[in-house]
Amino acid sequence: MEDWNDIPEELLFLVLANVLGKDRYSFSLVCESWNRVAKASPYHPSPCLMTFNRKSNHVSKYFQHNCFFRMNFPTLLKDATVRFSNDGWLLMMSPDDRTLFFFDPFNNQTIELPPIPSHRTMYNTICFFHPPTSPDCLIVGILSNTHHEVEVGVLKYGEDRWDVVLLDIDHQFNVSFCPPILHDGKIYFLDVIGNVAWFDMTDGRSGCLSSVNNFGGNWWKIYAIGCFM
Amino acid sequence: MAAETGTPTTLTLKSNDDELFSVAESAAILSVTIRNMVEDGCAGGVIPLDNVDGKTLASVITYMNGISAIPADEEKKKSYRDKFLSDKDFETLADMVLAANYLNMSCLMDAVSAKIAQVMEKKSVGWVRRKFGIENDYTPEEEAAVKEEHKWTFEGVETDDDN
Repeated sequence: MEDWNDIPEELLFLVLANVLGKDRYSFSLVCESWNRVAKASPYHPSPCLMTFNRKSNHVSKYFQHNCFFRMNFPTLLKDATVRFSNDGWLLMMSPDDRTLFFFDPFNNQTIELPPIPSHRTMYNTICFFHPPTSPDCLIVGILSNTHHEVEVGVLKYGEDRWDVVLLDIDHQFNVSFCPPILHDGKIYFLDVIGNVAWFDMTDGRSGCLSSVNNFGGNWWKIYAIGCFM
Repeated sequence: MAAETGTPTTLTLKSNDDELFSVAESAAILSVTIRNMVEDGCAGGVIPLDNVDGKTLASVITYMNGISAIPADEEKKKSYRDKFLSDKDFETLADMVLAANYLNMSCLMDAVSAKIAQVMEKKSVGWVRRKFGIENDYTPEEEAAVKEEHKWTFEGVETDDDN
């Protein structure tokens, strides 16, 4: 072995993929090039459970690989709400309920998003597909407006305004907070009594899959699970 | 070719310290680098592997033979890899991951990388630097900034004190 200082970056990526929890922190501290690798690593650590400390909500607690650890949330994000998470990113809402932004707690990075269309309340449910650093990133928010219509807001990577589409759903549909599911170009989402509606991302068509007329149970207990086979 | 003669084709590999090794083509083509040479018809004579020394190449060939003898059973392959790597010291692992990279053998690269990561487990930054012979090129300010970025306090097992 000549020298670890000259090891190709792709091998460091492979090694890092197996380095977990606090050891990733040590890895970053070894030297500048290892830190660069840690920041650019395409390998994501395994799923991580995050909870907020209720007394001081700028500290969050994580559980991963059977260990607990803590991280400080920037005070800037105090009182912001997590609306969705994926790919190591949190999609958060500011306390004024108007502004959405992405936050990566592992790299302490924030990405601002254009404000939601004016005169609208915050989306009942919101989700995103692909990390916000990817050109494929897509954010989809859905709400029931005051005219009992369903509105879908779509924000694509790099665009500075939301596209708004009014859906053609013929009965009252109160959108649930349950996260939508993307399958085959269609977004599927629920209302509070368990009806499923869909919206086609490619041609803008929409419809209602089922009208169950009250699924039974409470609205906060109804979830959509994607299992398309 | 094997298909024409009915006998297995063997290849001759040469390490950078001029040791020669015979290996069955069917095992050697686990290396994408060697497979490409075979497919391009450049594997007739001695195949020189300029980035791999004899000791490491002997180990890699043991691995090639061992793993190619196992039928398509990922569990068995995995347990072979674990056993194969279990008695290798750190220096050997380091040489082997570079050789696997040069030979383009992704399964060996993955397994050795995981093993190297194990070496770092629960070790201090200073220990990792010494073990890997890496010089700390951070200025004190930069190092403090990286520490600040990752304010992780590891707690091991703890009680829930949030309530």
